[in-house]
Amino acid sequence: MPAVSIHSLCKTYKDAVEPSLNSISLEIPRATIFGFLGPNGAGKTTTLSILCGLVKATSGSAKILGKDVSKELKEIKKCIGMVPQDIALFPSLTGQENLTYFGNLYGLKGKVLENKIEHYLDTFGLTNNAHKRVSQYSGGMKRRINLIAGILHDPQLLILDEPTVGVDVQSRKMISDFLKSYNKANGITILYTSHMLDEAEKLCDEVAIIDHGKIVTQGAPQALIAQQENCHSLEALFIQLTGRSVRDH
Amino acid sequence: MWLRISATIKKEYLTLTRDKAGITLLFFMPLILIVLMALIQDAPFRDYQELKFDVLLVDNDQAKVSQQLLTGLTNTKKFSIHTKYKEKLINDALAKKLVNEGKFQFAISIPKGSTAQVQNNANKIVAKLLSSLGMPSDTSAFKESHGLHIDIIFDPTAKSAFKIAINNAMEKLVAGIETDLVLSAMSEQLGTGTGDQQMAFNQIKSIEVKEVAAYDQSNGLTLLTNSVQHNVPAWTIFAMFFIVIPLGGALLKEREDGSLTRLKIMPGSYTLLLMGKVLFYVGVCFIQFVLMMLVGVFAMPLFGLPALQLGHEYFALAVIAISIAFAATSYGILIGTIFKTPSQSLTFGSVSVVLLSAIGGIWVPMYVMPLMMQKIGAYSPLYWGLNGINDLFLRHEGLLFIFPQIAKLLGFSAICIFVAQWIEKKSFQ
Repeated sequence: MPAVSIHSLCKTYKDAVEPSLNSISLEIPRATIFGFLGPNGAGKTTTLSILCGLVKATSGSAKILGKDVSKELKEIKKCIGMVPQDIALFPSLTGQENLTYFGNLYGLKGKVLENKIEHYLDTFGLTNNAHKRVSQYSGGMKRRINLIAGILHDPQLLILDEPTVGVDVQSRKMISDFLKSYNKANGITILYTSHMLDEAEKLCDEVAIIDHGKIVTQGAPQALIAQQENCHSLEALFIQLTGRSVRDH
Repeated sequence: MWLRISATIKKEYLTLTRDKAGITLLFFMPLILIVLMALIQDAPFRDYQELKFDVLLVDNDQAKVSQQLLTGLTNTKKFSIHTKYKEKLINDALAKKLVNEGKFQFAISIPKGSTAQVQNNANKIVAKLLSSLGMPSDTSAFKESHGLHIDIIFDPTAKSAFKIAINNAMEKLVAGIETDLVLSAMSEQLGTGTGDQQMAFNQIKSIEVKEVAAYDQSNGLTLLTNSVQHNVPAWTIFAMFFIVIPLGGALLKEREDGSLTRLKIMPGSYTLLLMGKVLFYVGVCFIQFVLMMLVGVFAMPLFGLPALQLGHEYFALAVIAISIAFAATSYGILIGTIFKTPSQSLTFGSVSVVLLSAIGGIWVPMYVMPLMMQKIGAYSPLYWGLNGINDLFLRHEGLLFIFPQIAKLLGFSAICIFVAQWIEKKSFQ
């Protein structure tokens, strides 16, 4: 059973002229790191929002770990972890307090939660800053706490919406390395969107490129690069498939 | 379930306690507001109770009527009578000038011949009375009335209520003087001009008017009509409803920074998180209420105002306070959900609370409003809250009596939460 299975998914927002998603179909195998790539306004966030139950699809179906998003959302929410693009933290609380709060919302408490927080703070090099308010954190530190808040409950599917945007090289490297080892060690499926195509090329087992609400290609990065003429990188492939015009969506 | 609620309460507590401006807005500003409003609004209450006014008296009569009027006004202890201004005897023109300049609130001008006319009328009444009884009377000296009247000149800025009160007081005094003169004339005509019989006439008194309570006062309850008793509860409710500003702002901030999205993706019901938020802010509102009541009881006397009397129904008071807190908090949740930017929420939230308070009788009593406004005001949650507290403080009623107000406040709260949830659900679909 795939981690994510999408079939003929369509979404047209109210008052929109064109559909945001135009009958996309996709399967994400379990325990893979899957890159969902595309220009601005291509339909990435809409797809993720449907998978998380934030937006209702106009038609089609989506299943996560065999469960229908439109019918079994409660069960699905227990199995997924979401790391939004925004720093979805409370700035006046410390890193530790933020994680405790989100842990409590996942139903975690006491020593179990304390140990998990301690472990992840240590993994991401944040132990010394755990009791500082998030408002005093650097961009990289906020991104790392943002990521921890999405994995405290050990999800089976981790959805990351541009997790490395606006961070320095060191923090980006730390996050990428963690995602790789997290995927390998725990068999977690990671669905990841990014505009950092070099990062995606190195990190992902498989990618799909979406444009104008349609999947334009899908497969392992190296195989897709090899298939395309005069193409030596994922970025070159992306440009060839989606064009050079700037998207102002 | 409780873990999610308690975690949210703790999060809100930490967030609020670290926001110094928020704490000031929530706790100190309302305290300043109720003290200031009670002090400011104390003046109109004292207009008719304790204040003493400087009054100009233009005495063109210089006889019995003007003397008795002067004595009567002095005896009320509400007026300080001035017949001279800077050593100069006051005439009508000067009185008008001084009142118009705002140096005196009003002037009384007694026309020349007032005593003669009143005396003449009294004699005429007595003569007719004796004549109708078949007794001899001397009516030869009667003259025609000249239609004289005592003029009252008010400061152009004086309020209607104040004018009515002064006019009534003057009418009462003049009527008393006329009655006295009729009795004296009758005494003279009957030949009881001296001794015990005249005293008996002079001791005839009309029935007096006395204010009594509409409730049983046997258990020590007293009539409470002062600015503290009216203003502290009214402005407390007003301040409690201002929770919509920080609460609406906090919700919008969560929406803007993406936390709301994360919270909605997390397992479990979002309603529980909202419940935690509501419970926390209800607690904040209740603490506001308690603090403001304590200020009413203990701090008001420090400003020369009477202490707030809380009545005896403390449990009912706590219930109505919590009901008001639920209504205010839920309204804040609704505002924070409907509007998409903090400036929209701030503007609408504050203006709507001011409007709801104005039509709800916080600024001026409902009964002085036009009928249509009274009908509209009856739907203001601030009116329900104020009515409930007045029932406890001023009418000395209990929990059962204020149940309709409590039910309305909690019903309003439930509707606000329901609508907010519905809008939130709709916006995500």
